[in-house]
Amino acid sequence: MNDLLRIDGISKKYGDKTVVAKESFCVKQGDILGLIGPNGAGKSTSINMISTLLLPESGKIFFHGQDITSRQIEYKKSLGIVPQDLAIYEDLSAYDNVKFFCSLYYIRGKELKKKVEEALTFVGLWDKRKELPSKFSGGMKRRLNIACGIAHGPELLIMDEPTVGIDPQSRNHILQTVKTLNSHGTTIIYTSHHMEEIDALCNRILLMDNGQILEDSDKQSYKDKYAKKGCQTLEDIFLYATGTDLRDMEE
Amino acid sequence: MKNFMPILQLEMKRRSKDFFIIFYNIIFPAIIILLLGYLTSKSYGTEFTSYEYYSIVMIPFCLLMAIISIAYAAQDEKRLKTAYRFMTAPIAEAELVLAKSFSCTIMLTICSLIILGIAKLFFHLSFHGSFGFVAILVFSESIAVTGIGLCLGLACKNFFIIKNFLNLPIMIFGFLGGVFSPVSSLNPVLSSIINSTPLTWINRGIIYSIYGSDHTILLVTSGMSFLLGIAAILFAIKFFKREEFF
Repeated sequence: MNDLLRIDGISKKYGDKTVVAKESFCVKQGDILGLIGPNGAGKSTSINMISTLLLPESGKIFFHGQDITSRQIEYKKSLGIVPQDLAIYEDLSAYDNVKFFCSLYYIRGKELKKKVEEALTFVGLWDKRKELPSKFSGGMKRRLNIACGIAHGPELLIMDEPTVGIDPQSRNHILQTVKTLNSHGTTIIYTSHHMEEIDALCNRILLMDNGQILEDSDKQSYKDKYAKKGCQTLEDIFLYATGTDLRDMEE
Repeated sequence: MKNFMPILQLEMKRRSKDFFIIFYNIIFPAIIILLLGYLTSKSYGTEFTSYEYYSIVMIPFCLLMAIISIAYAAQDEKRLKTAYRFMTAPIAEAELVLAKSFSCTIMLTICSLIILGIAKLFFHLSFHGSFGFVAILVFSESIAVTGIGLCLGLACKNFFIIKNFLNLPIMIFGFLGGVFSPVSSLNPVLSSIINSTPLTWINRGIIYSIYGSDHTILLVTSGMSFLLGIAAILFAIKFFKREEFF
């Protein structure tokens, strides 16, 4: 598989604190990359740099081999975001939410209608399209959050803890959604603190701590490596690699 | 500018339901004009009533107060967490700021025209053929208020700091501009302070225009407000900070 995204030595500091230190990794086409790490590991900052929200202080990001700073609009058109916080307008209907965010990707007219319908059907909210999200359950809002991120058909989708605070049925639906999206050709970067989700979805694991990459390998190699050290599950490996000290972080 | 129209449509939809803008630019001035007009009715004659006076001074004052509502509107995306989607979508910052500017200016102008209509219908404010000029002033002041409000809202993370910072100067401008009661002084220092506040010139412009058919002050004030507003909007675009927006 070709490299879809190549991160080459990106760094970011907040004041004197280095949050991400010369991070390099690749995301191949068709990957579901599990980006994991304790609070304060640098996951969100990495995601914010990949999604162009933050500029790296050093290093570069390449998409299809081209520096994203030189073709940012094209890169952004290929990018889908499902943020951890619900990024929807509660006073607009589900349909209008998806339609508006999809329209920001230069999609208009019949194509826009088609894509909105597809996205809402995909997350199981087509029947609720006229309702306001303020009346939705937590799981339905999460699914709408996903629909807003995927409607324009992104090549690369970044999902930042998309299953926070929802019931098992909704979580199961979202995990199935992620798998289906990937089978349709979408490359996904997925972050979660639920290791069973990472295990069920991802083919590659990127473990971060203190702004540095501790592990970058395919899931099976990752498991095999730590099995020799007595770790049976991804949760065991996570705690073995990053320690059991509490990570109380301030935003 | 491919995304300007979709963002403008969304902003218009949201601003037309904006409680703060509607309340502070239609309902609140109507109540205050009624209240102050009634309380001071005996101090004014029948040719120029207290209701007319407070209609003239209260509408521009409430429009000035809308800087706070616009600063709040500027932070909509941050508050609703949708800023993330805007910043990662292929849109230019100018599209976002301009769409907000257009929608806020249109909404403030509409609200002010409605309250002017209410003043004419219920408080018998006569424009003596100068309604068009007053409308120009209201539109220009709306642009200035929008520009300043957006600059502050987009530059400062904490809305309450903006609100607390603005309350005092707006009230002082209001007092010196004769919003609460007519103010004048023979003292040259106090007189020059009164003359240095924008509301003094706005109110003076309206009064000269309506009752003296002299539109000079009104048009100069309108021109200055317009230029200030455009400069503030351009400043907001130029110095838009992504980190402050989300």
